[in-house]
Amino acid sequence: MRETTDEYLMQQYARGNVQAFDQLYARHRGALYRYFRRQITDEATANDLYQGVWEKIIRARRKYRTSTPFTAWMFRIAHNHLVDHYRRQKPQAAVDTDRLVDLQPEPAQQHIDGQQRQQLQAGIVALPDEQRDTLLLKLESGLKIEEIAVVTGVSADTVKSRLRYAVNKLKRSLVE
Amino acid sequence: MNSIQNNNPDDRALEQDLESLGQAYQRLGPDEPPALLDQAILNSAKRAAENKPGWMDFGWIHGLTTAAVIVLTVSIVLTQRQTPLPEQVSPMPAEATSPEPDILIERETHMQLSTERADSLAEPKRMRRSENSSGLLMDLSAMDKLEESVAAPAAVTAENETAGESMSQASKLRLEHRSIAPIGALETRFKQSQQLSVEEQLQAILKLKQAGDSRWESMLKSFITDHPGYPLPDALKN
Repeated sequence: MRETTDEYLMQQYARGNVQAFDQLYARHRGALYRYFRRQITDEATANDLYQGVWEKIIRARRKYRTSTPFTAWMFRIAHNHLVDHYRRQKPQAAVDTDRLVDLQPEPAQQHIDGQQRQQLQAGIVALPDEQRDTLLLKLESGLKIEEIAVVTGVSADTVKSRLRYAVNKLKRSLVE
Repeated sequence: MNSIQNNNPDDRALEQDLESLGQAYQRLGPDEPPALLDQAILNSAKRAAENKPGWMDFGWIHGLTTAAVIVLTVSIVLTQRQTPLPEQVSPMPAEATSPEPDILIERETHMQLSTERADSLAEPKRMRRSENSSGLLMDLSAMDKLEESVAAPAAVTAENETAGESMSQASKLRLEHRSIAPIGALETRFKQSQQLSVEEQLQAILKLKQAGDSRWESMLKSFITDHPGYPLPDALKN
């Protein structure tokens, strides 16, 4: 049986079908939450941003066009929401290694070696904003390079460049 | 992770790095939103779906209505401005330059015979006022007073038009009233003898007499009062 597409579900929700939104939400809640949670160390702030994005999606339901992939549309809203947040918080937003002390692994999440996990998570947080954002879009959304370029408003080459820098930094942090 | 084209060796290397990093990333653990946050968002989505679209959601209707009102208003204004004025009496010659009584009388006679002219003169007061202001026609209210003073039998003044009269009667009376108005205009100009010489005034009276208009007598009396002792032509001595 053919799975209902995200675009169809969003269209149905725009017409008043709440169950369609429930399905859509269940599909994307984890990826979108991690997109924020792994960039914003403060959990309350990450929760606010996450909820804010869904509120925007709800308000913009009638403006959505199925010609745009839902995932790209959703992450574009998320990206813009995050950029706005960074602009508001800019004086305090410089990547600060002190924040890494907040990233202690929780017992339930110890699927990999504790030290390696902490290093990876700390390495992601330590990345410059643009590189971290691009890397998480790639890892969480599964969007293509070209789609990420559209979402972030830069060229595909810029996206690749950011990904290369991010990957190299993380590799170095994991080796150390 | 296979979204990067493999043509470029750098791209292939990046793809492999992202794959290995992705595997490590997956093992970080499934961070998920708190259940309360899920419920709040789902409730918000439900409330939004249950609410009917507000006026702002139909902004295009608002815009369309505004545009329609503007277009309608402009069309009405343009239509009113482009409506042709009813046929008007041909302007009289400038009295200071060509005070020829023959021409005037001929024109007035022509106007008397023309029903269409009478119809056009029967147009609302506003039109006549505008014509007066341009100096093309005489003031009809002044002509009314003059006609009353000479007690012309056919003259019907506006006072006779009572509120109870039917529209057809009023129109008829107005038509009759306007049909004699040119003679009144001539008399007015005659009274304003600054524009006519004495001989021209006498010629005008003579023309009236020859046309069978009974008011030539009153005009003659007025002339004699203004010019006592002036020799009258034989045709006016009786």
